[in-house]
Amino acid sequence: MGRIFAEREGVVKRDVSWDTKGMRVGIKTVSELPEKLRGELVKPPITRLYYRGKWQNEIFSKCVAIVGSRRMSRYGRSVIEEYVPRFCSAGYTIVSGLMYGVDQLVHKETLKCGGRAIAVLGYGINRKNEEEADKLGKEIEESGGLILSEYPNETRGQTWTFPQRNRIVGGLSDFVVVVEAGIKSGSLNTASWANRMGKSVYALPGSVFSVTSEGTNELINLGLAKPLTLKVMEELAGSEGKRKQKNIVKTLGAGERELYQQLELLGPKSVNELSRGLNLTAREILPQLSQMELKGIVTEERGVWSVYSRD
Amino acid sequence: MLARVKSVATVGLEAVEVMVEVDVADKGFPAFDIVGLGDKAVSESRARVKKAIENSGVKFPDKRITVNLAPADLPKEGSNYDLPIAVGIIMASGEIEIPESQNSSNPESYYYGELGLDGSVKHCRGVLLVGMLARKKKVKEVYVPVETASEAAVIPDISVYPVRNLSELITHIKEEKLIEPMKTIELLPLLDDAEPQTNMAEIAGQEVAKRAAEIAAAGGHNLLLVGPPGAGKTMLAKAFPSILPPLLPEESLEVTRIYSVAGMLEAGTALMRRRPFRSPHHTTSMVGLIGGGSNPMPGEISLAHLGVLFLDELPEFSRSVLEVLRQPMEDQTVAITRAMGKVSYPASFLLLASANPCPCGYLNHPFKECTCGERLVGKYRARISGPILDRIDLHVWVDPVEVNKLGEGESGRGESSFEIRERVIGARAMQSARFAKNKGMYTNAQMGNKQVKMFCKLSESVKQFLSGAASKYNLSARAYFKVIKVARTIADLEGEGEIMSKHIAEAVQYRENVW
Repeated sequence: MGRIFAEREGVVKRDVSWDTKGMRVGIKTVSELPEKLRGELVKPPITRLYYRGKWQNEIFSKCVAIVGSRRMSRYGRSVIEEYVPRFCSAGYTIVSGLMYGVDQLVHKETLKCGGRAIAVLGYGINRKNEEEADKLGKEIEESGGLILSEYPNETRGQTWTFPQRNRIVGGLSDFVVVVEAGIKSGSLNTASWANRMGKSVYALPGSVFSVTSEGTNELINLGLAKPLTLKVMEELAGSEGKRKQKNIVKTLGAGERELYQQLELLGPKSVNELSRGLNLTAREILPQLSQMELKGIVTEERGVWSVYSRD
Repeated sequence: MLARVKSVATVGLEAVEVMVEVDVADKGFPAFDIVGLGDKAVSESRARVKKAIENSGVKFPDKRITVNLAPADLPKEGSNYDLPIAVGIIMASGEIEIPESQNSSNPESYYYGELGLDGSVKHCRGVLLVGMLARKKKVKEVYVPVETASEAAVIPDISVYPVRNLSELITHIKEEKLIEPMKTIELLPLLDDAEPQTNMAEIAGQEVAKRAAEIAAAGGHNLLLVGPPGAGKTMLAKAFPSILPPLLPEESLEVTRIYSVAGMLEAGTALMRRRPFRSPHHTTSMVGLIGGGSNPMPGEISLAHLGVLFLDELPEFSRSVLEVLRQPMEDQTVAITRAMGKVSYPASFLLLASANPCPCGYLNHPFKECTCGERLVGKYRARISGPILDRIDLHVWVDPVEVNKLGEGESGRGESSFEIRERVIGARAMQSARFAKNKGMYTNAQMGNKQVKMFCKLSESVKQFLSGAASKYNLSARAYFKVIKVARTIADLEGEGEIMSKHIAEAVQYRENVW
């Protein structure tokens, strides 16, 4: 037993000195872990944690996990784009799992608004993954964020490693937000870890027709999560963004204001829907939307417009 | 005895006069030879000509017959030499009496057509070119198959004789019973008659896409529609020709010439009355798209000349096939070199393309989830190269139509194609005035950066607005010019001489951000 451990230690030692393209892989043992990960509610206990990036204890002080399924709808996307920057500006470190779909978008949005990101991997710290994930991981490191994993080297991700990893995600966070999840999503597992550790879980209520909201709606239904409404959001992250916007809205012309109010009232809409609702033609609507976009109060992605509430 | 009859060879879109010389000699073994670089069809014409003459009640001479197709070094292909060869043999054999006026030593007519064994004269491609050459060379009479005679009948100043069969032609030559020449067909009334097939008013919703189509039609801009399946991309494309300005007479002749060469003009139609709309399947090969073959034939891009080339499901086309579009899109003509020679076909088309946003098609769908991974989407996206996207001025996201809303809001809100086309025609008129001194330039889309600087002067405030937008949207230099060009067209649609901020504001919404 001792021999095997020694061998493992040897591997670990090599890890520490490994410079993969200028990046150091570090290791922290139990005593060096943040308080949150040492509690007896984290079961099985974490014995060591590999990391890439710069280990600073402040990064763990105020964390929120935002997780979700790989499949994501336009709704999930717009919520992430809306909420992540607000959590960031409220000083939260955003924890997620670097999987494609919700996780990656969360990381991307975090980096975009200059927030701190932690990605917890379900596979070895040095394992090459999809190009997209690797690139994003690197960006997280460079931005001063952290990549964490319990597994050394190039350990392959397995069916049990991902749920195991979720306990770290849950453990690190003050509360967990599940954006979108199917009925079998791993995000539900994260939610249940968080519940066991006594942390708050918020789930985004979604359409009853949407497969990607089945899991989140079920969490709310079973009382395992609180619904994340705008009001809850304001309590958690403050409401600064909105107020600033109100001032700009006052300066809008009548036509622009009408459009803005439609978007504010009814949520993201395509120009076709706006045109139908307001009985205006596309050539009347489009220039006004452009003008407002340049003022930074509405935003468009793939033909869908929404009110822009970042600072 | 020697007889000479004129016919026509087509090389690409050009027609060349061919002298068919027929010698019927009393001396030597009976034989029938054709020289002059004919292909298999020309060589087989011997059998057809012999039987056609016999079945028209004229004795085929049992003599040594030599036919030369001059110029002897120009490759000849096709069955259209049957008629001149037959006429030459009949004249040279002395089997019929030929009046002085039909003196064969001074041929004043073109004969063009394929023969059946019963002596009937059959449909042949390229008849319009025969008529055009006749007018150019001041040849007065043209004898062509009755089925395609109307193609040549659009050419003024020549007499087009529709020939039903060889025996009718013989009695005509003998001046016993004359064939009535065709009346010259007037182009304009024909063109005005052309009715659009699908009306824009039939399309519910899709305001943005319709507006983009209007701009595309007005300024000749290429248009890319991206959206989930069933959103109405194809339907919009089908309605697109209905808002294009009608063909001008000379444009119509240009298009008809291509279709005549390709043998794609329907029998009995005189000319192309509508702008062509070509929609090749995505399995189309390179040659199918740009043209080719040992005797190069026009491809889809030339068949779409002065019209629309609609590439449905653009990413499904193989990448190498799409890349060959780059040069013709730039030059508006395509040069094809083959063993038979080099031909160049015009290819000034408007590219209308549609695509799904991802392989499953539901990326960004309002209420369906996309099942594709990011990597798969990335791979799919890579199938359309940057240079091709660069050449597309208008990029539009087409939102799916909510079926339950299809019935609503149709209280006369949808504009008909006719109304839109009126604006398009107005915008085109402004453009032709603008480019009066620039030869070969008709639309805003054709402007290079130099012309943009020359014709699209921006006022200081507009310039400021544009540079604000450019930094906000991270526009490249090329994208910057594209925005100005599109804004110019939008201003033209409103009849504005000057580009204003609102035009720029609308134009930036069609920038490259949906693919």
